[in-house]
Amino acid sequence: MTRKSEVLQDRILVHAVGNESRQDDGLALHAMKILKQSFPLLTYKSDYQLYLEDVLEWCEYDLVWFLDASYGKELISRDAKQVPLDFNPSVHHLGPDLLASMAKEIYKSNVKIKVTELPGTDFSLGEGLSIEAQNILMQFEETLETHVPIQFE
Amino acid sequence: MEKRKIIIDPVTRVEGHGRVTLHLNEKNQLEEARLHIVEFRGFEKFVQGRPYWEAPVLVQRLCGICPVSHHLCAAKAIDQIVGVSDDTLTATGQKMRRLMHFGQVLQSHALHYFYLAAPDLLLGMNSDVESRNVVGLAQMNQGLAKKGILLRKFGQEIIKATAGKKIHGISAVPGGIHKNLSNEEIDFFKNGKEVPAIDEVIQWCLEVLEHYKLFHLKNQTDILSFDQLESNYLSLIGEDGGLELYHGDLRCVDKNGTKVIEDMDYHRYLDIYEEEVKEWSYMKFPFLKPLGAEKGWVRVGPLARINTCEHIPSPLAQKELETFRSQNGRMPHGTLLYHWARLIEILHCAEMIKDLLDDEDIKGENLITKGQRAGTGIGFLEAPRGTLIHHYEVADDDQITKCNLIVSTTHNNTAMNNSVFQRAKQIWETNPDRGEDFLNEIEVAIRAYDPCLSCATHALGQMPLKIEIRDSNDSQIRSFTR
Repeated sequence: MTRKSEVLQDRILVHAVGNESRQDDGLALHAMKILKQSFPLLTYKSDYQLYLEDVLEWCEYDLVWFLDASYGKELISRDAKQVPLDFNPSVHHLGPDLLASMAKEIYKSNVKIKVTELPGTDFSLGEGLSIEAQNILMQFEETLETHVPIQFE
Repeated sequence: MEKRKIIIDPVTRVEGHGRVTLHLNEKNQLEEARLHIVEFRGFEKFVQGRPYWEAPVLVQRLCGICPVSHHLCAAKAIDQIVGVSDDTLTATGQKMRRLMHFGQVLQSHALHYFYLAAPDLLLGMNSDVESRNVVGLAQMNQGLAKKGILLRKFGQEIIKATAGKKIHGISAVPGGIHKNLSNEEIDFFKNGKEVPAIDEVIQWCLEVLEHYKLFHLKNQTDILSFDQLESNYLSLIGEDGGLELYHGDLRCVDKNGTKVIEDMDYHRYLDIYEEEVKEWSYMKFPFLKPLGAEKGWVRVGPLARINTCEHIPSPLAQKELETFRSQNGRMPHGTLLYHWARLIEILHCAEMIKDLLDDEDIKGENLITKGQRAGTGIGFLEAPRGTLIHHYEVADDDQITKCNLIVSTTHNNTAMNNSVFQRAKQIWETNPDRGEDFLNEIEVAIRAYDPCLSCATHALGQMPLKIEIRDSNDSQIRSFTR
């Protein structure tokens, strides 16, 4: 875990992507609302998806905490993986691991990328989260300190 | 021998989700290829009952990659509902929309070329899959990768300045536009402080083209033998036969370049258009009625536009067109030539953006006009991937009663199936046991069209490419994944 002395709050970007009109696809946006209440001084950004040029913005920070819904089964917070070891760019989906690699390989950036994956169940058109996703969000809030990539006083 | 089929699911590095099945006959020969589009949008139904002025904002939600195209195409159609045509739009309204559109085509083409296509082309489609991506490209040519990222950012900033935001903008309204460009906004694209200056963008486009042409020269045989698909080509066309991305008449030429549809007013499209439905895909198969379903399918997009036009109305892109034709002939059919054509269009867009940034009308105050209310609106536009059609019927109470959308990828549906079949047949007949590279070559054929199969969710999670060989009872007899 990175300590506050190493990374100032205003050098941290929380970047959430998702679409609240696709039910659980909006999980990260809900999680970001929780974070805003707990850590109002961080910089927040949200969008429907990641873009290639987001890497330029990421390189301006010391730490990027990326949140997204996932097809996985467990709520996970992890360091970004390094492409090209285990990653194939897939379909329309530009992932945080690829962007992390681009930051390192193209821009020689030292930005640390932390990824929180919030497992969703129902990604079809519709408002609101599924019951399972609501439970994941509750679990995220209850175990927040284990996911936050920095210690705050 | 019983019938078998091979399933490639999903197709990677295209927008949305697709699945390919290759069907073998009793003699173990490839009989049919199907690109399955199984996602359902339903926007034609969603907008029914909504007031017409909401259409340009609603329908762009179809897509996160080319929402500007839907926004503008819907606006063009809805203009007619308020009695306005492209000819009667204010100069500022029309030029702001054009500027937005050129920004959109530039960023979309840049994304496709640098992120999706270049890894196959420049690293080799049979190169190591772990490095065949934009990071691998960066390791090979860091400068090229950086330019790709900044070109894309430049296009996105043009969209933000003209549409109000980078995605799902709101500025095109019935009868015009609700903002112009300020001197500060224009200077933003000229001073090179926060984004590359437009002159630099044009220079980069030329450099990328030079890079591609060198690659083409070295690999010409492979590129041209990959997939030669003789087809009809459809696009909008300018008054004097010039390349036209925003507004013009409809032209279709056959494989020899003979005009099949001769510069027709697109409002009459129903006279020549028909769509076929197949049970295994949600995507329809449009064709030109005069030619019938079997011979009437067309290709749209960059290669089609390059083949239908007589010239390009911007000097540097025109010069590149001449080089393209001197190398490939007047009517080239190589599917991978879509990439070269795409790069010429990026340059054209950059040149047009420069002209518009220098145009005083872009700062004008006369933004919206209106005329006599009508009940039907039809909009055509050349989206990055090809001809886009929006058709609305509106009742007296202002509610939309009917909506028909034919998106660019739909026009290319038959062509993509044919390209997959041709490529797969060639591979299957020479070496049916090939592995991942076999799959990738099929995908390379599809990716050349830059299809947008549908924007779905963007959740994290590996979606592995999987190939299955199934017998006539649909039992899996062999499978492998990346």
